[in-house]
Amino acid sequence: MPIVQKHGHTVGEQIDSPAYVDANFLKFYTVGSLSPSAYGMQTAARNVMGDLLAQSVTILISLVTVEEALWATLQEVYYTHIYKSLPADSRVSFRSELKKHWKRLMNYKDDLGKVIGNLQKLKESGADIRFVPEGAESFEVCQNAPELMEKHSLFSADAMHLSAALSQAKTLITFDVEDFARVMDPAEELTIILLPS
Amino acid sequence: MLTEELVQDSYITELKQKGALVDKYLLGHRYVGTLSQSPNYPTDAMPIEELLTFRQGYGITSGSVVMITIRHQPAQGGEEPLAYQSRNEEVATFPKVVQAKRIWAYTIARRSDTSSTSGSVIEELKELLRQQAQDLVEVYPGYKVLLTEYERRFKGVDLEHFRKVLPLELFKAYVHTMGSVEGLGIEPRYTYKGKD
Repeated sequence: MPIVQKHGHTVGEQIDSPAYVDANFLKFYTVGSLSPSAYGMQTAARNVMGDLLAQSVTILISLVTVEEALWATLQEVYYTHIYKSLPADSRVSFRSELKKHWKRLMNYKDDLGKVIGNLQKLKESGADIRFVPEGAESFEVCQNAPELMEKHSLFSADAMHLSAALSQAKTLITFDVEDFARVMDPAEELTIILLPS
Repeated sequence: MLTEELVQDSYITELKQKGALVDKYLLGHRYVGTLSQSPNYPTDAMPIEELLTFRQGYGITSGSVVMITIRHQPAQGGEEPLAYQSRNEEVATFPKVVQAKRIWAYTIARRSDTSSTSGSVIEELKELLRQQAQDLVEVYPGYKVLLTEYERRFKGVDLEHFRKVLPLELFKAYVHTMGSVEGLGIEPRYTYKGKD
């Protein structure tokens, strides 16, 4: 079966194991969202995680997943708590002003810790959660990324997600509908669950 | 609000032994501050005994969360620091918390004026806590959260279904690991001067 996309997920629907999850999935499950407009994504991630656990699906993540989830959490904290407290004429983008507000952002370091800490708690409670790729396979996954970037017009992190998923997973779960809806390859086998963003 | 890493009473006891007063806290939350590091705060605050009394008096378990925040008191004629305005906006999503905050700020103001506790204000606070205790939702036996927290963390999640299909211990882990961003509960003393 080639790469197929499936839009959305209904509670109780089967998910093929193993399933690789992307950064937004990890972030919305472990720390949720501060923005009511993103509660739908938070709810979707939490219902899907329930099914992953209920169906004993092996959950795969990578260091890229964790790094991006940390970044997304930091970004949300900035816009929710810091950006609004600045005088209008001093408001600038997250990336360019990040270091100036580092001390305040680090008030949320425990929340950053939850991104992986909550997964660890799940694992300790019996969930099958693994990091990929491991060992020598890491080289192959990384080496495949540039080709996937060209083939599917993906940025580097997304190409790494896809490469890791193709190497180990039957399912890729992502909120990145825009980029992953166009990933087609009859030679590869993967179900991409596109959660609504 | 965070409930998976709860303040243990032993921690509160330890703070008490060190002579700490609570200047900003979440009941059942690990975040407890001490006045000694907050020179600009009012010099009077709720002693730890009162915190425990309030909690115990209204059946609020360590797994429940009731937030009471002492409002920063700006200097007379001064403006509230920007960081606290931001904090207020954050807290404003929880109307009852804001109510508690206002009541408690009033309590502090009265204490500062009279060096004594205002009975009527404390009664108001007790009534508020009583109402909040009634708003608790049981997620599973032994674990209750405030309705506001329930809606923030679990709204739309099919907990009924997953409670049936997951083993109990895994369901508990599932519930507790659906976290939320809390911060330390306080922004550092901060006035915008172009940089932190």
